[in-house]
Amino acid sequence: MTLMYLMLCILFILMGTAIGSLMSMLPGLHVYNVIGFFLLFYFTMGLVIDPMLMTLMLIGMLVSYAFVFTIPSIYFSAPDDSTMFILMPSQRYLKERKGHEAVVLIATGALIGVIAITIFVPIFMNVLGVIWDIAMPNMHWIIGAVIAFMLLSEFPKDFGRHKNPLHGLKEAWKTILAGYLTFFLSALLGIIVFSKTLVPVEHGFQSLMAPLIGLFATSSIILNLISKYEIPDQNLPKSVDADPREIAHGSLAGSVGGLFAAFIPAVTAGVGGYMASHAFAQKGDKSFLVSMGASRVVYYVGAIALFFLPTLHLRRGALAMGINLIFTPETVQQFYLVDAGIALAGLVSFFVVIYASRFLARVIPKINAKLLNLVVLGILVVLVYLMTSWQGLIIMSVATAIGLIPVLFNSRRSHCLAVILVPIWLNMSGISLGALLGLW
Amino acid sequence: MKGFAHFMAGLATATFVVVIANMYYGNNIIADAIVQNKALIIILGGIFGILPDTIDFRFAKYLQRHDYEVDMDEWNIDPQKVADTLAHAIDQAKDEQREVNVMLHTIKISSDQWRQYTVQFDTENKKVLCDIGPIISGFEKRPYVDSYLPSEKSHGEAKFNADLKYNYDAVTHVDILSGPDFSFFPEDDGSVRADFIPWHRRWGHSVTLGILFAPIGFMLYGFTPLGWTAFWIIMLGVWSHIFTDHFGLMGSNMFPPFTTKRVPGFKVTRSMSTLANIFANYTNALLIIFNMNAWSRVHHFEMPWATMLGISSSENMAEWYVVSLLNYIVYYILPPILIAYFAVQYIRKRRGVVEISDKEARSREQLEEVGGINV
Repeated sequence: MTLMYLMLCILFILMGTAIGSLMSMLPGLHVYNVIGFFLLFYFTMGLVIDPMLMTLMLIGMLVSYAFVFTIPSIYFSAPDDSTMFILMPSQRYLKERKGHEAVVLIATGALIGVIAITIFVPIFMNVLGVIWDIAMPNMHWIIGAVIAFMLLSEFPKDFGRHKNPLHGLKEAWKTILAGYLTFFLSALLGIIVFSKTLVPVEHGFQSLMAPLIGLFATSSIILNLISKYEIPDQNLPKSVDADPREIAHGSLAGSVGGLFAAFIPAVTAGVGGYMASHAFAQKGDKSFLVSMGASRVVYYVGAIALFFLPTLHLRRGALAMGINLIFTPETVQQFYLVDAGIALAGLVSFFVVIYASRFLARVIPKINAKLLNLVVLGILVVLVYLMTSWQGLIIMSVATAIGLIPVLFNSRRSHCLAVILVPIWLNMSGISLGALLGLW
Repeated sequence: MKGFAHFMAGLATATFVVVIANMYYGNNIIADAIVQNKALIIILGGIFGILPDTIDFRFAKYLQRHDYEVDMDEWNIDPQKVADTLAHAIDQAKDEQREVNVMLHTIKISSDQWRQYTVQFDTENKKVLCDIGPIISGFEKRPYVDSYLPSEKSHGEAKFNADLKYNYDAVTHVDILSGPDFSFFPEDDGSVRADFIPWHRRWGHSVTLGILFAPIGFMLYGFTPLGWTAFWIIMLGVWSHIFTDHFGLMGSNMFPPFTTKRVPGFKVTRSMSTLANIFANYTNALLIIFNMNAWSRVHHFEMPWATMLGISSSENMAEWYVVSLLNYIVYYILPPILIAYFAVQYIRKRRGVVEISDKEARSREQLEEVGGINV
């Protein structure tokens, strides 16, 4: 590898980080959607750009997304008493003028997550390989167990006021049943989308884009649009005053959860993080926020590290699958190059998040968040139309309706992930429900 | 333990049952049913492992009837009413020789703010004390310093006549989500026993329940080797929950309807202890990996003790399994746990952390159980 090539690698990583940072500031826009565009672009320019450089740029985008996504998730999804049953810690922090503190805590977790990936994944390379070989034939019941835990671990969120036992059960089960309905409908949507290409065939590789945007992005934006809220002036403290034990606990829990999600097919950062928060008996908002950051970074970035890991070459997540279209990892050197790229992008993204948050904390009361949400909604609709035509818009509308159920009934939004979990689980269990439903 | 630890314990138990069933039936038939025919039998362990808490927090809690409910709001705060109601309920249980239940509702202010109050049973002076605390923020329970009420409005107390047996810490906090409830039972010796969240760890956390649920295995797979395996997975899955919970202080009612009181736990740890949960999950995860490797037709790792002793899995599976498992525990499970345990003890000693009394620990465990499950 020449010095010139190394410089080019750094340049492409930084370019990816810059592009990813800008895109990730927009609420609801997922980096995988943008990466889809970049891959389409690359297919026409393939002879000009070296695949490894393109790969590094995409990795830079992914790493920055895992960090910078924190900004819109904290500042542009404000809480509203009329729509929220219980506030998430990040929303509570924003309401208490501590949005910047929340961002710093999440970014700290993310940075520790990146460090964990770049150091521990190479060290435990062989162990991970052995665990994968053992787990692979059992993956059907492992994913099934994740689903079972998701469904059984949601407890009623009631306040204990009921006229009689029947009324109490009705109140208690309202949120749980709404969650199960969300799970069932998302699973059904997933089975249909996985079994039959509803979008134009030439865009078949983006068939999950419309359901995912509908379930998670547009439903959130609609909630933001109908919510009545005002973002208070934000404080910019010199310290987040977190106990090192809280940071260590949150980072460990988040990293383990993220790695689990990166390792197991169909499990995402949210589910992995949630399971890890239980596994590590997490207490307190600060630890939770740190773990959120670590979990998301380890999930997204860890998937890439596992893809390049010489003992594994595991394809997890849309980026690994996308990169696999243009590049096949072969050598240990490539792994270490990617590992170093992840570390560089992580470090840059950390400072981008901190400075962007400092800036936003000052100007946020002046920003018309509703207008911003409307603009993003418009961008998403255009994006879905361009990538998946009118069929995609219909799928997105259906998914949006499903995504609103947990929001309106205060159940867990993670049930929407059944759109991926269930079809993959059925597939791994050798059950072709799509064929049974006549979808082939 | 938290739900996840129970779920993992159930899964780990299921993998042990599969290994033993595999040896019993021979020819690797149970493992092949799982790996090749994609049977989902192991999930039953997880499902029935977490089931006792599901039963308690999704059903039993709502079937509990209350004779009295104290429901205050921010504009109608009356600590005296809380104290009077509890004191009256204690005496009523004695006078009418029946169980009397009281529900204390939380005071919700907004989606993230609650007014905290505490209840204390002074068994020596036969008094119930109620103190209204500050407004607190969400699950972190951070108090708003300017939200305390003046002392004349924040305290209430009432006397009762019965001898009260209350095993837990003197102070119970009522703050977020749904509030706690108390049951007062007349005892044979003329005293009244107070139980905190009386619906929890009763029939839903019993050995009896495991026996009752076990036949579901036959319903799923018939009287086949898989059906018998499922039978044991379900029964031992439920029991794994009760066993794991028993490491705490609160214990469970083991054999309802033959017994009515909870049997105290082993007092090894508190059920919501971070370290206890991490150790339990770490152990279970590693045991699951070991068992998956053990039932795999090609072992992806071999433990050195079995190789050293010349024991082969193809010749004597049971011996190979036991020796390898012991070796695995000694090499991979015990060292990290022991190192972490002694490191924590050392840090606690250096910082001068004072050990809490059994009574206080039991109380904390109960309060954490309510909050821990709800969150």
